[in-house]
Formats: sequence, C-alpha cells, structure tokens
Amino acid sequence: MDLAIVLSSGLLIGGIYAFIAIGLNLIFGVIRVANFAQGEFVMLGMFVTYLIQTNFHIDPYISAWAIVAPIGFIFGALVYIIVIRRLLDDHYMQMFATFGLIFVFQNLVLSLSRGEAKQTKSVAAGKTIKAFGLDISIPRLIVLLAAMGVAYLLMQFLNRTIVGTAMRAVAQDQKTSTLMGINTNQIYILTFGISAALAAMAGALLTPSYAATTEIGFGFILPAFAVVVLGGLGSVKGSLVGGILVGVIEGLAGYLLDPQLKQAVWFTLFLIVLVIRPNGLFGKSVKGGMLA
Amino acid sequence: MTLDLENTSQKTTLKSPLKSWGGFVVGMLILGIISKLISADGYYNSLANAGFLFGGLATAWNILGGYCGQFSFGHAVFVGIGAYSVALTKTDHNWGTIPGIILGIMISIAVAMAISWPLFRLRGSFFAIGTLAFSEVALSLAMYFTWTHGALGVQIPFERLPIVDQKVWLIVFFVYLVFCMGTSLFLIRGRIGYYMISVRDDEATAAASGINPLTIKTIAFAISAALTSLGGSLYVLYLGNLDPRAFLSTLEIGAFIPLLALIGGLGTVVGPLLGALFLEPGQTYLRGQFAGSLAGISQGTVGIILILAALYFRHGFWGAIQGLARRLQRISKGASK
Repeated sequence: MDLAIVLSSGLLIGGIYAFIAIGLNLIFGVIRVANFAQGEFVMLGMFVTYLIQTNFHIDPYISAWAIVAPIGFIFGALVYIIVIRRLLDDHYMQMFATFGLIFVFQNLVLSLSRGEAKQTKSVAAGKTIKAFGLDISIPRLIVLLAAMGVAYLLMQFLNRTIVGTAMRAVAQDQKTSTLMGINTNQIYILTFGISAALAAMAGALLTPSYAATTEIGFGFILPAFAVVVLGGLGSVKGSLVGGILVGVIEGLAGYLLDPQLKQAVWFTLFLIVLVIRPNGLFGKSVKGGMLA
Repeated sequence: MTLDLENTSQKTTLKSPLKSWGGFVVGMLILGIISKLISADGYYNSLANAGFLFGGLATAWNILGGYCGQFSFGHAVFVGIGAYSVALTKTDHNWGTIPGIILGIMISIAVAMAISWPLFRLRGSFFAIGTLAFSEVALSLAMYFTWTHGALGVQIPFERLPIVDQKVWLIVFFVYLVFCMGTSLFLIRGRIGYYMISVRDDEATAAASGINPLTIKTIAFAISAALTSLGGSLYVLYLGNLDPRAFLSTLEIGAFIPLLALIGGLGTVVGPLLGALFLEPGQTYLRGQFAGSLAGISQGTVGIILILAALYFRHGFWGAIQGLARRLQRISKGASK
C-alpha cells in the first residue's frame, strides 16, 4: 500500500519535471543552447500568476494558458533577441549569460517581493480525489495531465505543421536548412518563445500547490536537465517519459533510503546515464533527436 | 565544442608583460605594498582579504576553465572539501591546522582524479551540467551525514582559530594569491601549459600530435582542485563558521568564481585577479549601500555584469588592456615611420 502511494506521488512529481523539461529540451534540441535560466521562467510565471490573481481575481488554471503563457512567449522571445542571439557562436558565453539571467531574475523578484513566498488560491487547491484507494492531489494531477496534453500538442505541431517541420529541419542541420530557405532566426525566436511560454505555464499551474519563492526555479533546473539527458536531446516524448521516470525514482529513493538522499540518488543516476548514454535512454543521436 | 578559431589564435599569441617572472615579481610587490598601505583602515583590509582570497580561487579555476577550456560549475565542491577537512578535524579530532589543510588537498586531488574519468567524457555544456549535478550531490550528502554535522554546519571554537588578526589574514591571503598565480604562471610558461591550450583549442589535433587530452585535463583538474581546496580551508578558518549552504552554494561559489575569471580575462594569468579585485569589493560596497532598502541589488548587478561581459567583453579587463596596448603600439610605430 505504501509503495502505491510512493509511486503515485512520484508520478505526479514527474509530471512537473516533464512539463519543465519539455521546454528546456526544445531549446536544447533546436538552438543547441543549455538554458540554465529555464527554471527562472517557471519562477517568473508563478509570480506573474500571483499578480494576476491578486489584481484581477482570475483563477490560475485560466490565466495559465490565457495570459501567462502568451506573456511568457513574448518575454522569452525578447530574452532570445536581446541576449542569446548574440551568443550563438560561443557555448561558453551562453552558459555565462544564462547564469547571469538567473542572478538578474532571482534578485529582481527578490527586491520586488521582499522575499515573501506567494501562493495563489483556486477552487482545486488542496482537493484530492480517491482512485484505487489512493488520495490523489487534484492540482498535481492537473499538472501531469497538462504536461501530457502539451507534449501531445507539441508533437502534433512539430510533425504536422510546416513551421514545426522547419523547426525539426533546423534542429537536424542548421546550415542546410538555411540553404533551403528556412529563416533560422525566426525559427529560433519562435522556439525560445514557445519554450519560455511552456515554462511560464508550468509555473502558473504549480502555484495552487507550491508557494512561489525566488529560489524555486533554480531547484527545478537540475531535475529538468536530468530529464533531458534521460529522455534524449530534443525528444518531446523522451522528456515526458524521462520526467515521470525521474519523479518515480525520486519517490522510490526517498521511500527506500531516506528522503534527504533522494536527490543524491537521481543525480548519481543522471551522471551515470550522462556518461554511458550521452544521447539519452531514448534518443538516437544528438543530431537527429528531434523526432519524438 | 571548440572556440572559434579567430578568437583562440588571438588568445594564445597574446604576449603579456606579466607572463615573465620578472614582471610577476614586480607586479606582486606593487600589489603587496598597496594592500599594506590601505590595510590601515579595517574596512579596506577586509575588502582586500576577500579580493585576494577570491582572486586565488578564480586563478585556480582558470587553470582548468581558462587554460584547458573545461568549464566547471562544481568547484564549490573543492572549496567545501577544504573547508570541511580543516573544520571537522579541528573541532572533532583536535588536529592541528596544517594537517587538516593537507588532508583537504589530498582528498580534493583524489576526488578530482576519480571524477575526471566520467566527467571528461562529456563535452562543453554537458560537462558543465555534469559538474553542476556533482556539486548538488555533494551538498545533499554534506547535509545528510551526521559526521559532517548535517545541515547545522561546523562552528570552529574561537580559541581553536590559529589567526584572528585581520592584518595577519591579509598577509596569509596575499601569500595564497601569490602561490596560486605563481603556479598558474609556471604552468602556462611550461610545456604543460601549451598542452592545455592545445587541448582547449583543438582537442582532435592535440590528440593527433601525441598529447593525451584526458591526462592533460586530469592534471589540470587535480591542480585546480588542490589550490581551490587550500582556498576553502583558509576561508573557513577566516570565517570560523561553516554553513554547508554557503560553502557548497552552486550560485554564490560555483558560478561566482568562474565569473571573476571571465570579467578579468579567461585563460590569462592576471585576469582572474583583476576580476576578483573589481567584483568582490564592488559587491560588498553595493550590499553595504543598499542594505535594507533594496534586497538583492548587489547580486542583481553581478548578473547584469555577467550578461554584459558575455555579450561585449569576452576577453575581460585584461583582454581590453592588451587590446589598448596593441593599438598604442601600432600608433607609435606609425608615428616613427
């Protein structure tokens, strides 16, 4: 019985990781940028959702897709245009710049929020449903279902639309796609915007169950990278499966060993996978990994 | 993961006046005299202490990150190993200071060599992510075990601290800095330094010319870790208190040390020191000015500087100074014709 609870809660946590990792993986796969500041988009999304609720009384589950995601898109596109675009030729400087973004966003929010944790209210907050004799938290279930929905829509977009096909082409071979007449610059802006929108939306959906703090985003970035590595670079399906895997491993490690050691366990696992299968458990090769 | 050719050929051919031992000695003497003069004021003394310590740490990081091109965001681990070795042996086992420091250095070298094999199979961003994960594992383990005193950290009793006088600490940190920079200069002037730069600039070609990149990277990592551990030991003796979240902080130590090297000039001998002398006191100043009114302003400024440096200032202060010197040389050559 205990094990079932551990597995179900691991599954729900995994939904959160998967959601955040999908956007991170998209940037990684298409633009080849390791965006260490992706977690900060989640954090900003949480605070924006809080502001929207306190000022306009809109439920986070509505503002998440109607308001926060579009804001996230515009914000991400701007971050790309202002900072990342100028650094495409230098991976080292990209890392420095995205770490700089972490410092800037965290401290901006810290000075505005004065370090107070913020939480939104929703009709669904704190509610649970009973299924198979287990109490399942509704807000977390919503995140898991939303992650699956987003992954499905993104895969349809990448596989069925002309823009999505262009994104996959750029991911596979940037130079050749440019020669084929694809505007790489626009594709990159779009990719970064979509990723930031997904991160912000994930943040919004988290607010009913997690209090927004300035450091929460950085706490998500390593699990998300672990998911990317496990699931394979640029693979949407891999992100979903990898996220759930990381969540379940975390839950099991906490149950079997010690809750404090759960991070150490999956970080170690992450390092092992990174070394043995750098293309991920499901990724084929680094270049052609975009096809999920 | 290769730096673009134009950048690197420029970087490696730069002739700096401080790349000679004579220039090094003169520069260090001047720095020593200036710091002696300003240390009359307690506030400036503490700024100089922090500047020299972090200058040494950034110099140590630069041996792996700047010369060898392996960006580690996990050097907080070695700061932590050095700090824990001294603090734990002192408080729990009644060891002296020096044995604790040596123990830390030996553990750091062993750990660096042990994780070299898995980590150096990773390239570029993946290496950085790997070091970041490594740093997080270290933090969670340090917080978990009881023999590390868990989340409480270690408080070294005041009477067990070997040095409490700020002025003496200035000398200690200065000697540490000189030692780090001397090691850095020694490496870059010698054969091993050329090996490191060749591995950074073009690993495949380096391997084809008979250099074993893994060996070179491992050596660079071990030296860098040993110097960082020494700095960590000194830091905990200076503060007297070991908070695992502060010493093993990914952002405030792990990402901050590389930033100092970047601001000053990656892969140069003097750059990391310049970065530390600019940013450490600058951050303390901002924190003092805006304490209470605007939380986070000093770190936020650090972030903005980091982004601007990555965008417009990739060769750092030292690169800018050298560029200026080259331009002056060209002008004077033109005038003499």
